[in-house]
Amino acid sequence: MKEPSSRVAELIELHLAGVASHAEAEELRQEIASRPELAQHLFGAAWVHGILHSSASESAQAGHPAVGAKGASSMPPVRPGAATRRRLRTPSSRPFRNTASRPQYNAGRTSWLAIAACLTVVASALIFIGSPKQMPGVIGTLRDVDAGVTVASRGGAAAPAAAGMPIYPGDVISTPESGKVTVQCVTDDRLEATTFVFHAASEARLWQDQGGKRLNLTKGTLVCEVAVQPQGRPMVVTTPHAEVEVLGTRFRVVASEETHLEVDQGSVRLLELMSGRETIVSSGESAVAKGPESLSSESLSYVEIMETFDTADSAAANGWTGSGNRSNGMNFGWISGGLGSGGAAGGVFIRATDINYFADTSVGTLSMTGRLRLAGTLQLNNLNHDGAFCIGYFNPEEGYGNFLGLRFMEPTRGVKGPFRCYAGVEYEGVTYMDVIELPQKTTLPFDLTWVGRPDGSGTLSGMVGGQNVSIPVVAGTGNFSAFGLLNGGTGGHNASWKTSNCYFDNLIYSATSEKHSKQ
Amino acid sequence: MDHSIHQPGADPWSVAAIEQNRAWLTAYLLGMVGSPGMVDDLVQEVFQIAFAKRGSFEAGRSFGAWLRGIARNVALRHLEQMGREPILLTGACLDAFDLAAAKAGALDLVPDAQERRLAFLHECMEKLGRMARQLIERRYIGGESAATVATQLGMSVSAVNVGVFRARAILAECITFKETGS
Repeated sequence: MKEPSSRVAELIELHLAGVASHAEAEELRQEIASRPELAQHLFGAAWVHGILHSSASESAQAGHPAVGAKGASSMPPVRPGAATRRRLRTPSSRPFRNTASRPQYNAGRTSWLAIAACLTVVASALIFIGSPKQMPGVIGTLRDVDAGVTVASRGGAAAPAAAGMPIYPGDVISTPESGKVTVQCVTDDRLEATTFVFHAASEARLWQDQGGKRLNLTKGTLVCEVAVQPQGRPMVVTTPHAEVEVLGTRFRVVASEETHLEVDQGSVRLLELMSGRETIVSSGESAVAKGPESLSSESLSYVEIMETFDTADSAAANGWTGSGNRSNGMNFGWISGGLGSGGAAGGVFIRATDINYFADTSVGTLSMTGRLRLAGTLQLNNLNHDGAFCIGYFNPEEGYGNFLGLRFMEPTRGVKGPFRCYAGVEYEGVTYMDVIELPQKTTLPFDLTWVGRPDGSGTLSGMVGGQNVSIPVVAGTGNFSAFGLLNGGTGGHNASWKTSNCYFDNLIYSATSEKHSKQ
Repeated sequence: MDHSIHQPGADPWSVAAIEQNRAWLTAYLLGMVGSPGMVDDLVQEVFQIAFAKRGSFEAGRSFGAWLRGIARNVALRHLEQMGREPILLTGACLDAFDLAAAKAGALDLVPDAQERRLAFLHECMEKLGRMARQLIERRYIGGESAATVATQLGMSVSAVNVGVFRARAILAECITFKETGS
C-alpha cells in the first residue's frame, strides 16, 4: 500500500490531535475520498497512537520509563501523567478563611507592587503587525522569554518556553521567581497588537472562544496592552477575586491575597466576585478586589457542618438519609469502617439510570449566590471497572438538574487506570467541568469552595487530591436542599458494572443557620 | 473478510470481553472524530448502547461489525453535535477504515494481547532511527506539543507532525509483524 504524502501525513496528524482547521479537515476529507486506502492509514495512526498513550500512562503510574526504555536508553525520565493528565493548574488550593473584617473595594486606592512603568506603545485600534502563517488554533506567540518560563499545554506537562512558541487555548504560562515573558496575541492567524506581559512568579491560563479573549490570572502580575476588541467580544481577565472586562486599554493586574488593578489608559469594568460589586476604573485610577476572607460574618448566611459518620445512628440524626443506603437494596450509604474511625459514607456504586442518594437533606435551602464549601477525605478503590458517583450539593427530586460538586467516573485505559474526577456545576443542562485524574486505591483529601455572585455566577475553586481547581461559571440560578452522595443518571443499568468500595469521611459542607441551631 | 471480535463461545458482555475491544474501538472513534479529549467517553457510550441493545445482537454474527455500527453512529452523532462534517465521506472510505479496524480487533483475540503489544512496542522502538525515536519520546512520554518539539529541535511544526506520523507507521508495521508473523 502506497505511503501517504507528507501533506496527508500532516493532515492526519492534525486531525488526530484535534487541531485541524475546517480547511484542513476538508482537505483531508477530499484526499481520503479520492484515495480510500488512506482511511487504513488513518486507522493505523490512531491505533498506534493509542498503544503509545497506554504505554506512557502505564509507565507514569508505575513510575518507570515507558516505551523502549531498556538499559542505558536515551529516553528521558517519565514525568508522572505527562502524556495523560488534563487539569487546570492554579495555586488557589488554600482554603478560604472566614474572618470578621469588612469587605473593601477601594476605587482610587493605590497599593501596587512596584512595576516599572515602561509602557510606550499606545494600542488604540486593532492593528495587524505582519502576517506570519500560524498553526490553526494558535491564540498567541511568545517573545522576550526569560529562563525558567514554562508552558503547560492542556494535554501535557509544563515544558520550557522559547521565543516564537505558539500558545494554544488552554495553555498555562508560568514564570519563575525572577523572570518574565510576553505573549503577543494572534487572531485569525495574524499577530495582533494586544500583548500580555507576565512578571515574576505569575501563572495564567489563556484561551479564546466566540465570546473573545479570556485570561485567568491565578497569581502574579500581569501588564496588558489590549487593542480595541471586536464588537461584542470583550477581553476578560479573571483572578481569584475579580473579573476585568476590557474593550481596549492598557492596565495592570496583580493577583495575590487580593487583586489590584491599575488602569493607565481607557477604562475597564471591574467586578469583585465575592461581593458582586461592579465599578468602572478609568485612566489613572486603581482599585482593589478582596478575596472571600474579607467578608463579614453578617454577609455569610451559611454555616459549615462536619460529619464524621461515627455511627449510623448519629449520621441519621444529623440528617443523612436517602434511597441509596443498604436498607433500600442499594450498595452505598453509611458503612461501618471503611475510612478513618467509626464509619464512612460510601460503598459500591453501579452504573444506573435511576437516581439514588445518601445525603444530609436537612441543610435547608442553599443558593448558588452564596458561598458553599465541600471538603473531606475520599478513598477510591476499584476491583471491577465501571461505575459512577458524585458528591456535592443537589436536590433529591432533581438529581443532576442542579448539581455542584465532584463527579467520579470509572477508571479508563484499563482496570488499573485512574478514576476520572470532574469538578463543576451543572444546571439547565449546562456543565462546566475539568478532568482531574485520581489514582485507584488511594486516600485523598479534597477541599472546594463555591463563591457565588448575586446573578448566580461564580467560581468553584480549591483542591482535589493535591490538584488545584478553579472553574469560573457564568450566570445561572440554582438552589440546593441536600449535600451528599448521588448515584445514577449515567445510562446503562447493570449491576455488574460497578466500582468496589469507595468512601468519604469527615465531610465538611455548608448549611443554613437553622440547621446549625438544631445541632 | 470480517472478524468476530470476541472469543468464540465467550460471553461478550463480560468485563474481559469489553476490555478486549477497547483498544481498537478507541482507535476507531479517534480516527473518525479527531477529538482526543472525548474519545474515552465515546467508547464508554458505545459500550453502554451495546449493552442496552444486547438483545438485538444475533448469535453467530460478527460482534466486531456490530460494535463498529454502533460506534459509527455514536461518532456521527458527536460530530453533528459539534457542527462538524465526518472525515470519511464515502462508503469506500468507511469500508477501508472498517477493514483496518477489523484486522486490529482480530489481533486483540490473543490472550494477554495488550501486555504482549506493549512488550513488542519496546522492541520496535529500538528499531527507530534516532530522530524518529526522539520525536515519539517527546510527544508521548514528555507530553510535549508538536510546536514545542519543533522549537526545541529546530524543526518546523509540519516536519514534526510528518516525522511523528512516519515513526508511528514504522511502529505499526513492526508491531503487526511481531503479532502476526507476517
